[in-house]
Amino acid sequence: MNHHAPVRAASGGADGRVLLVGLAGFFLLFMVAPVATVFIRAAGHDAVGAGGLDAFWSALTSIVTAPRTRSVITFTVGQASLSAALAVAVALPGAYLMAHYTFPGRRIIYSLSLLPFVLPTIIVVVAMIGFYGKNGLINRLLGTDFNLVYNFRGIVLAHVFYNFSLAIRIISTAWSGIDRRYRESAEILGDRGPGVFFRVTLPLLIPSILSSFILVFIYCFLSFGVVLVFGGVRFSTFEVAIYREMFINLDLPAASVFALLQMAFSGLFILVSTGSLHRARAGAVDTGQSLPPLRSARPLPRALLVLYTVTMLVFVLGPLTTMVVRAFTGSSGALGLENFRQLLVPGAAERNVHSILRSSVPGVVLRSIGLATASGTLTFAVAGLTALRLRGSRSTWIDGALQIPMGVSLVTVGLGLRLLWQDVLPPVILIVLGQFFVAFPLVFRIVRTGVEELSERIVNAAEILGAGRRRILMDIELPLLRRTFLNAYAYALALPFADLTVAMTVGRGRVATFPVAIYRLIGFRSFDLALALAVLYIAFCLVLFLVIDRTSLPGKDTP
Amino acid sequence: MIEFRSVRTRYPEFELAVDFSIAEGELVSILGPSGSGKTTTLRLIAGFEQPQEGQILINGRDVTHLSPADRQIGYVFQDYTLFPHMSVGDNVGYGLRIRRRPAAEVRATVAELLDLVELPGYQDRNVATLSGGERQRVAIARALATRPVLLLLDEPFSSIDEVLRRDLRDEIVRLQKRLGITVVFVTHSRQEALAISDRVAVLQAGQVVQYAGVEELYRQPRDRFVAEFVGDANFVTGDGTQLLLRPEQLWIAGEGDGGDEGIVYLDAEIEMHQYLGSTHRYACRSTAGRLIVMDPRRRSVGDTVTVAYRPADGFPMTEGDPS
Repeated sequence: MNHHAPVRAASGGADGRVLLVGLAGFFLLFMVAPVATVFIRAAGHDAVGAGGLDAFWSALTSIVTAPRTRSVITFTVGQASLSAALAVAVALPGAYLMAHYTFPGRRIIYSLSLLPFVLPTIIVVVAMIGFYGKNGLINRLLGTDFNLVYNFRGIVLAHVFYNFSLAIRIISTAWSGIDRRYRESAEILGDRGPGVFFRVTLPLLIPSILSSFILVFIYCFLSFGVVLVFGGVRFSTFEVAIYREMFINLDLPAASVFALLQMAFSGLFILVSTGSLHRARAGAVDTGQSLPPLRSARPLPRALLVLYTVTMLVFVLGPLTTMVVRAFTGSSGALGLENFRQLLVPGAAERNVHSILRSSVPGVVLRSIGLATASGTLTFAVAGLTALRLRGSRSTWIDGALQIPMGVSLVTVGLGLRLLWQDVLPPVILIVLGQFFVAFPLVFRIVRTGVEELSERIVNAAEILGAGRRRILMDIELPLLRRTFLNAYAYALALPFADLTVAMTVGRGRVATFPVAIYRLIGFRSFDLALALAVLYIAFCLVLFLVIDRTSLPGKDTP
Repeated sequence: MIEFRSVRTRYPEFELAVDFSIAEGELVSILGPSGSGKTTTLRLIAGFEQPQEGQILINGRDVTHLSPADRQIGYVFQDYTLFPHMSVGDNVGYGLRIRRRPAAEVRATVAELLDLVELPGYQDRNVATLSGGERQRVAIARALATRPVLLLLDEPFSSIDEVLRRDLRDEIVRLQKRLGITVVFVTHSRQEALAISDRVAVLQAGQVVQYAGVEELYRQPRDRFVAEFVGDANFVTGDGTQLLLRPEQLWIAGEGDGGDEGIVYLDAEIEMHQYLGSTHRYACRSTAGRLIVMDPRRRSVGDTVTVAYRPADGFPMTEGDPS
């Protein structure tokens, strides 16, 4: 139903259209045109001797048929499926506990589960190396030297670590939303325990399981940082293959063919997934008033609690704690600020940190904050205005179009931005523009959902009472949407802050943000300094996480 | 059939304390304002909740600590909670499949039950496409499929519109008589309770304040709360006690009436008038206080009339009334 309030249509029509046209122009100029530029340049590339499209065509056929391509496809799809399946499997018990029990530390586990999700991949990489790596804690404790990270296992492990919390959030929110009377209906009809779970609960959870699987799958499919570091020369996702061809092999046609293939695949996945999600949700019946599962305060089955907590500790806290401890451990093995001193005091390190990073560490901090603030504010403002403007409209294609950046290769966008705009705009501006596309899909979805949930009747009531557009915004919408906006803004800041892909491809490593600096330190084998920098980063983020968490814990207001 | 033996259970908001029994084949309503513990009582019978004290017996068997699955009860929830991922047929046959009945038997029983609730051939329908009334019938069929000894209905008509509500109400009575099953029915509507029940348990703040047949409840309520909760109530003083008179026990006397033995005449003024179709409902201010009177003749607000009643018709209310 489209109850578009006439007052709003009359006053918001013209500037609303301006906004949407402006947004379309922005997407065209800074996403579509750059990507197109990459393809056009690739087609006109003269490397093979033959000119233009022929070269592109021959690159296309030779790459598509090359065994290496097949291995990129198999690897990308394979690791993404496995990672997503494992992330969901790890998340299910956690989601169950979160939805059904109140226990000490529930909030903390919830907050922790958010941590890996907002951490930059590069810090996950650092933490994983510190914990599972050759000289990592596990190998040191066991006295072994298993290679747990620089291989397929390591990539999947990092992806699961990185994403299972997202699956917990999605599934536990859905689980808390399942009317407990479904379970009771099944019980009164004679079903019990596992039967109820498999016959009733699980089918009702399928949409959330599917959607978390799909999200994790897409994130892993587009994975860059983890695979760049752990994959070596053996494993590349499309995103890494594009990066390699562009910046290491300097083979633009090959890079653009990979980019094309990637887009074809992600387009296909998004198409298939929206279809299957739609079908899975079609069965849902609106029962009107819904009773969430009783959140029992009785003690959990002890074994279950212990098992899950231990797993959480080992899996999440293990790498993170190791990272923090090692950051504070000097080369002598004594606890102290040695690493931070080397990082921050010029000349204190054997290697010249400044020359590795092409910047001082305070410079990195300021640059990161500045870029993230600029890009986050831009994203948030555009997403917020668009969502307010689109309220009440169910145009699936506008919503769909606005989610496109999620499936587009960021490496390609980054490179295209450079190719197309580098003579006009400085790299920092291009990074801000590129990072806009990193955060926009998620931020927009958060704001859009929040705005749509705001009852139209409340707004209508204010209109009937004579409030104008501006008064409604100030008196009704902004106060009611405060949490949504805070939450969205926090993500809008966090995602570019954590971005490695765009900063690397647009800035070619010369614009040192936090993640770029950490990546470069790993590259120069200054591992302990990388850890120290990662800890600094986390300290900066903690404040932001707290804001996100305060505003987004689902169901915390329900008894 | 069902016996509550000093069942006590405390909640943050109130304490539920029930002590009553329901005979086999009866249709009993649990009636009370919202928050009085109606649904909780039903949930205790079903086993979704367990009392802190006391016992619940079904057919002489102590079921207090039995799981819902073992109680052989049918339950129809307020919003029916049909499983959205199953067809109508799969919903109705769910309990039978749990009991591992052969597929042919399940099919036959489902068909029979859908006939019974007048939805023949609905097996393959998607539950999302059903109307409110159809959903309710399917929910009843699903609850009856396992041949329960007892059927519990939690506000089953609350999301159905007025006209359909009456049909479904009659249908439940028909089914109940036909199957001879015991039915316990929760409602906050006194019309519903009075219309279909054999007996009504009136709940107030977690206590059964009266448990009686519908006429007894209406004519001889235990206290003022029950009297007012189950219908319009007039209280007049006679012989030093309070008498309850229902509106139909009062009438507006004609010109020249009066002086008859055993009838009290009161001068009154009509304050409010409601048209009820077959009759009119008047609120009058009289020397004995505000009186509700039903009268088939049309009068106007402000008219002066004479209201009459026979004190002998009144039901004396006991003193020490809690409200």
